[in-house]
Amino acid sequence: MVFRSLLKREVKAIVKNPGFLVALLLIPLFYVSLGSFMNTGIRSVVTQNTGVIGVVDEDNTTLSRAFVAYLNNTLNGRVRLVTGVSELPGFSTIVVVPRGFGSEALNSTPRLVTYTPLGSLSLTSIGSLPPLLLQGSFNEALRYALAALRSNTTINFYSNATVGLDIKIVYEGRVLDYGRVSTDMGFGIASTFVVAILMSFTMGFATQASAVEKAEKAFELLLSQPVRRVYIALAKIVASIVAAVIMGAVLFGSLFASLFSMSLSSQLTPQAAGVSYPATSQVIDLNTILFMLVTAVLGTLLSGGLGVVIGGLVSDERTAGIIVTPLTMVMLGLAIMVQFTGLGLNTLTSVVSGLTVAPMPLLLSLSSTIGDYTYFYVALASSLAEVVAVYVLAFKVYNSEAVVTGLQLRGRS
Amino acid sequence: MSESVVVSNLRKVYRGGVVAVDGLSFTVKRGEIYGLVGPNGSGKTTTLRIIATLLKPTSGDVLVEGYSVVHQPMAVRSMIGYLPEEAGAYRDLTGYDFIEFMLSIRFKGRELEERIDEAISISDLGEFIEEPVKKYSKGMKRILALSVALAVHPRVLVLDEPTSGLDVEKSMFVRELIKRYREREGITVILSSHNMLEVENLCDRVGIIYKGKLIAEGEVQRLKSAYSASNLEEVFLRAVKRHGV
Repeated sequence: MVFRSLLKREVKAIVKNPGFLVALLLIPLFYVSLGSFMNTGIRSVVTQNTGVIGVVDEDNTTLSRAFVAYLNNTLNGRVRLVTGVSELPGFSTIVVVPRGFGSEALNSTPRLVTYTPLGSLSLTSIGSLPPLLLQGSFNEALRYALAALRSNTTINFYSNATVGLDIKIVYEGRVLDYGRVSTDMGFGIASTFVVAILMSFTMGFATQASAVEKAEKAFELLLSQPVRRVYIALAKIVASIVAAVIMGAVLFGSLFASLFSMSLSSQLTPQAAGVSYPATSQVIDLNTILFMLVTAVLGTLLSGGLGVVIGGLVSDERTAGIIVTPLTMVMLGLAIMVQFTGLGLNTLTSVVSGLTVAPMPLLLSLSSTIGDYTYFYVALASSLAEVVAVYVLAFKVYNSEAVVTGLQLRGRS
Repeated sequence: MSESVVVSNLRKVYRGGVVAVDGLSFTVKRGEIYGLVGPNGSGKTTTLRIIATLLKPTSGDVLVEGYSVVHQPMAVRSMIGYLPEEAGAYRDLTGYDFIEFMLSIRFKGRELEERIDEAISISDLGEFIEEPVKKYSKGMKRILALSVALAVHPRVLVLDEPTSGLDVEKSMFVRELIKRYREREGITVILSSHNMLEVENLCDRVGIIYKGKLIAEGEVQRLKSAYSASNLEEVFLRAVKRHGV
């Protein structure tokens, strides 16, 4: 009975909290909007994976012709013979069967060169490029072709035959190195999580810094001192960022240690046969690293500012927690969801990335890959403008009486 | 005595239309202890928060030592020492650290050290000064906050319910402190209370506030005579009745 009363009181306190009600409205709104973005992304990935594939048969041998024919069968008739890579805009990928393919296939691992246009790709679909997804089909077509060439053997005889891929990504007529692309995107995806988590930590700390001070009844005493309130707000933000960086360092250090332990045991596991992944470049240029740091700084500044605004407007710790928890989930959600949303590279995407900050590392990676930072600069400018707006708001809140009374949504009783 | 605090036609309407202070005007002379008395919700705390520049008036103004709370809030803050209702302190700090932090906002170097010593002496917390504030009783926290407010040597001391929730011993300690500092430093004190007895013993003049309006004001003895009352509580009840508020 006592527990029921306690539970009833706790549930009532949460449910009747305006912050909780606002969060209930905002979360569906956010995820429904995200859903429509995802839909676009999924459509583009589906198009890439079910699109028509052009094949340039430079080898033009019995084996290469058989390979193309079997590839067409394997891919349900999606293969078209083309004369050159210049026809790429009409295809999701063009596969070049180079001279010597046939002789290589008989002696070792033959190589194919694939060209995929970057313009049709989403921010994150590079990791699942059509050529990589087609690897199985290439291998299977090669085995059938080899078996057909020597009529006395079966396909099982060539079960170890695989095709090596030389993947090229084409952007505005330029051919990009896949290793570089892959490294950049890996860095971008990892950095997205780092930025999102740092932002979540910072917002939590900044909100609590004000809310706890109010609960301790020391806030009014501080506000009545002859000190500029801008400094009070800034001190909370900077302290929150420092705390978030320390917490983030511990978190990511621990994760790294955990992954390191896992990698030691994975060395004992045999590699999956039949798939040959292209080598990746290990070098990330200094510009990208610097811009990533700028993004992280902007993200923490933004979330710190937002935290101070929320902390300044709420009247107690409970409301602060109720508002900040879903917001941090939204930030982490953004970081996770953006990996799958397939946002295209355009001005709108750049502005949205800038305003939410978490997806900016992916945008940066793509910018680094194509060697054109224009879209990243658009995101950077959007983010910077938002940070300035949030700080103006934060200082306004701290200079207003709302910081003392709390935001009175229903008036004062 | 010249004027230290001048409250002019002060009005405060909260969001939602609640009128907390409604055309309040009074003056506190320099070196005077002025008591604002009234029941809960009468507008005492709102008035003191406006004087302490925490709230902005909807209309009207308050001059503290000649500075406007509306136009010169920073100058006002450097003139006052403020003790909020239910004043607390940072739970993670020791009493000493709290005093040092609050005073370091205004003072530096040797002067800071002297003010810290003074605050420690005022608080009379003994060895507890090195203990975390989370171990303090409500009374200890209140005295700690008051010691900071006094150690800055304010021209005007603004105290919101200074003895609320304190036991008799601590209440007497606080009242003695206020009196002693007024005599020693010549500071102006404006305090709120709904403890009529306390106000009667401590204040030079009293303003009775009800529903945001000042319904009676003057020296305690004169008010008692004017309302033919034996104590301030009776003065309050008769003033409410007479003014038909």
